[in-house]
Amino acid sequence: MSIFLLDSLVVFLFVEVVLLLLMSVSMFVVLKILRYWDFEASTTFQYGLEKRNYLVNTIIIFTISVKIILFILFIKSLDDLSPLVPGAMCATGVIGVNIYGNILLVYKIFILFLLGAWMIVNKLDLMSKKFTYLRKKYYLFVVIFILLSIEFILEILYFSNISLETPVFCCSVIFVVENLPFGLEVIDIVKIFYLIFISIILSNYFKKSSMSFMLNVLFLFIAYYCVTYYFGTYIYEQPNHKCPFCMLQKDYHYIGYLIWSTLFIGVYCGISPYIVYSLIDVDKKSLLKYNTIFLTLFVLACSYFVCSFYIRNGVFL
Amino acid sequence: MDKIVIENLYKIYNEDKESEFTALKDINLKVASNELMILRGVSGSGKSTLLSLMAAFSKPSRGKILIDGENISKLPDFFASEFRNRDIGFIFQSFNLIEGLSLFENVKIPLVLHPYSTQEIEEKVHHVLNLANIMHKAEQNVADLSGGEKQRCAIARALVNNPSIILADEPTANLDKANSLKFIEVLEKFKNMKKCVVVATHDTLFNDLSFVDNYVNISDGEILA
Repeated sequence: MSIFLLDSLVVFLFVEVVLLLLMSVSMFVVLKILRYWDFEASTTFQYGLEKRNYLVNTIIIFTISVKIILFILFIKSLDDLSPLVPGAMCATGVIGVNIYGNILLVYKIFILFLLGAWMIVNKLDLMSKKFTYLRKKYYLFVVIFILLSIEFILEILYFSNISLETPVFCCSVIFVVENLPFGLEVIDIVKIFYLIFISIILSNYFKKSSMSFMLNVLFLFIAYYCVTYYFGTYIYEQPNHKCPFCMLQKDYHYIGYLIWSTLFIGVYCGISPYIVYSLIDVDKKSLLKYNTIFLTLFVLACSYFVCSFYIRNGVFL
Repeated sequence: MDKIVIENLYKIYNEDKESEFTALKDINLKVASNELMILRGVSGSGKSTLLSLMAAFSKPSRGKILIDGENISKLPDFFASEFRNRDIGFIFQSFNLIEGLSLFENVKIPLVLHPYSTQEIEEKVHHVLNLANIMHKAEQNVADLSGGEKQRCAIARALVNNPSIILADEPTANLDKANSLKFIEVLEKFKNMKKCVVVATHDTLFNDLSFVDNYVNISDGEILA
């Protein structure tokens, strides 16, 4: 059986192709705008460009919005593939099936944040009377388009190299060594997790966007390991079940969506002010308060499972 | 001082297509701050197109429209809406009222985007309803009004934001002679209110009015000397 016969994967790849086509069409107009845009001119050509700008902007907003939502479908497709891959019980097993899986996942998360940054620059551009950020916005789009084309190639490489015969390890770590960064113990990672969280709150309080940017990037990295290797075990109530994906399933009341979405939205609000400032010199520090709110929700949600387990059982896992 | 300055304005519909049509050709026009201008021309001469460009309802194909020195043809959609809401009172040929709403509700629509209190909104609406002499019908559904009353409602709505420019597109096209003459009286009120007023019409009742500052004739999209 070919994995390309799987419904969710077919839909996912079809939508990816449609989005890429829409973006390719937009690219022609974007390049023309970048080459000839002169806002001061009142010529027929410039008025034509302004009309096309509205059209292409609408197409790009649509494609980027769908692209963000498509990330969820990507995860679902991986989950749906798990019964076909020997040894895989959820998306974790499927993502680790070949060398492209984890690269693709990290790459997708990176692009998600970039798409979010584009949305902010676009909003600021539409709010300016003279399309002040139009060029920078479209230069960023050109970069995004190239990155998305590479992402599509990675997706094809990943999906076409999924072996349905070779067994894979999944999310149980009874027989494998935990793969934590810098050789740290889980408890050290948890301490660093709370330390960075407090630092982010302080940094946001003092509105230090560059510091928040660095801390949030680090927090995203550390939070991934913490949720997978520590908080996850309390969600599953199994010390050897270390998985970032299973919590997205019905068995765990879809709690993973709350956990991962608050983390991603929080980090997005934390890193965007610095990225936007670097790109177009505009202060968006107002987003930092949402960074604090979402990350607090995230930390509370994670901590709840540990506290709840301890209260009910009188021991930690 | 010039309120509206139009420079080398063109409007071409269906550009680069077989059905291409040039509605306005090289229009150059100036309207002073408290000037009342009548734009005369037959149907299809380009009057309505010119008014819709002045109100930033659409964009020209070439040229500029400066209002208080700002090129409004270049305004992005959001700012064009803001400009219209702030500076323009537009009286449409077919009134464009929302049936199902009362006269009062129709008139207050331009104010809902402003941070006015309910009391301030009521005061402003009542003020213009009195000016337009239609206060007694305030709570009536506009669908039940006569043509003349609908137009007075449209006038009140155009005035409620206290705009500096009033544009009227064929304001008497749907009115009988008596109501058309009443509208001409209202025009004189506009003049006394020191508004910049442009009326596009082919109605001969507007000919030779003593209080009109300027008559401009337009034919086939061009201003006649």
